[in-house]
Amino acid sequence: MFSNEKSVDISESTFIIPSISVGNVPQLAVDLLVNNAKPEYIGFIFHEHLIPIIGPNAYDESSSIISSSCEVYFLASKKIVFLQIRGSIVPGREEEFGKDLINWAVENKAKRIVTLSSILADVRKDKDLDGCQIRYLLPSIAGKDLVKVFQSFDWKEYEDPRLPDDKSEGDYDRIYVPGGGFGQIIYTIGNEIGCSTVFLMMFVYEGDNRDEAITMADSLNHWIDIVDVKASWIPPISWSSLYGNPPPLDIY
Amino acid sequence: MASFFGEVLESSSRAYDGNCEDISRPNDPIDTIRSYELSWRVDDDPAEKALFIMLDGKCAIGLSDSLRCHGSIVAEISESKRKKDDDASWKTSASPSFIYKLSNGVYVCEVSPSVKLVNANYFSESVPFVRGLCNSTFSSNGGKMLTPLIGNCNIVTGVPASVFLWCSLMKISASVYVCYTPKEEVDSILWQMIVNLLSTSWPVKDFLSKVNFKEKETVNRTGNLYL
Repeated sequence: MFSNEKSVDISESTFIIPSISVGNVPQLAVDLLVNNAKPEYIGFIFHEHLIPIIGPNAYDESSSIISSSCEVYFLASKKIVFLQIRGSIVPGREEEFGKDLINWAVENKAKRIVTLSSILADVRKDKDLDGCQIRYLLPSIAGKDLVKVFQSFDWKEYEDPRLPDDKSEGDYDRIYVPGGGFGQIIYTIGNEIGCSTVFLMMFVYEGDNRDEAITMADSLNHWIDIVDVKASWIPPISWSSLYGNPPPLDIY
Repeated sequence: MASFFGEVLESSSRAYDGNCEDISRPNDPIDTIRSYELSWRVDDDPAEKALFIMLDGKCAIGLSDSLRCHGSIVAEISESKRKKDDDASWKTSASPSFIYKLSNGVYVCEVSPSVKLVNANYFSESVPFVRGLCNSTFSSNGGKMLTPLIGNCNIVTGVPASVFLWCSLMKISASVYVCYTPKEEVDSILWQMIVNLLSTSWPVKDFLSKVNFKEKETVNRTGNLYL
């Protein structure tokens, strides 16, 4: 259920959905996009399979808007809807949640969905070790023009790590993204339903993933032109304690 | 602070093989266990705390002397100590710390000189505190939070968060209060905080004040209390 706290027309918008994946890079990237593009908060999504969390506003200490498991923002100037997912999905319920989320986007006449995900860097093949770590998957309806755009960015098409070089994707029912969370579900179901869904991914190792988040935000911004980042991305105030408090001084 | 050793260090952290009677050293036997207990002397409303001033040290106590005449004591923080392996040897310190309230609503905590440096963390941890959150319906209905708001990066999860979000979805006024405590048991100190909180707005004061905590073992609950 969507709380719909502002009456805005979000039809024909690009829906950006971060997947809870390794290093939380997509969520960190959305944090950067929201904090810098300043879209309007329009509500939150309540779902039985979404672990509930609430907290003070992650972007503005003076704001009375509460952070929640799935916040929804709308950038009217660019017709972009951002989802920021802070609560995890109940294990085993990812498909149900994914379907409901896609149906909500379709009901709101989404122009396209862009789902962000990270991939475990362990599964890289030798050819993946160097160069741009962004990978993509496009639906067949996306057209060759978009393929050319992505290749001009030096992005490469994602290859299922289960596939040896002489096999095709058709041998498996669904794409497999190790550590990718429910992003693969969003991609598959979105395209099955007929809503053009682009899948953007990035190889990451677990750790301090702020730099990877900047890379992902930069890449998405480079394609969709969301915000004019003058010098560098401004991190949200919620990043000030990413690794807890500093060590107590009395141990020195 | 430039010193005899030419270093800027807290005195007790310097390597020192001199006089053990140096008053700058903490000199607290390691076999002594200390405990701090906060007890309210009067029915006080935690939500009214706009400014809380901690006064620690000789000069600060001098300031406190001049401020105290403009207020009244509302709480006492008493220190008890015992030998490590002797539970029966608890003794209460003769010089507790006080919290008093000035006439303009400012609270001042006068830290007793008996609170030693090595026990500073135990002192601050002795005071459980409550924080809260409210939804927009609560605010627009004129609701007033009884405590300060939860600080950034802290979250509430589980059933309280779920109920809160559901209320927000249904446009029902909702607020949640979280009591942060270092203990896993409900004791009289924690309960007093809850009584103070609930009694300000809800007609449950008489019921709450009748709870008897003499037998502490009868109530045992783990985790924070969400209200």
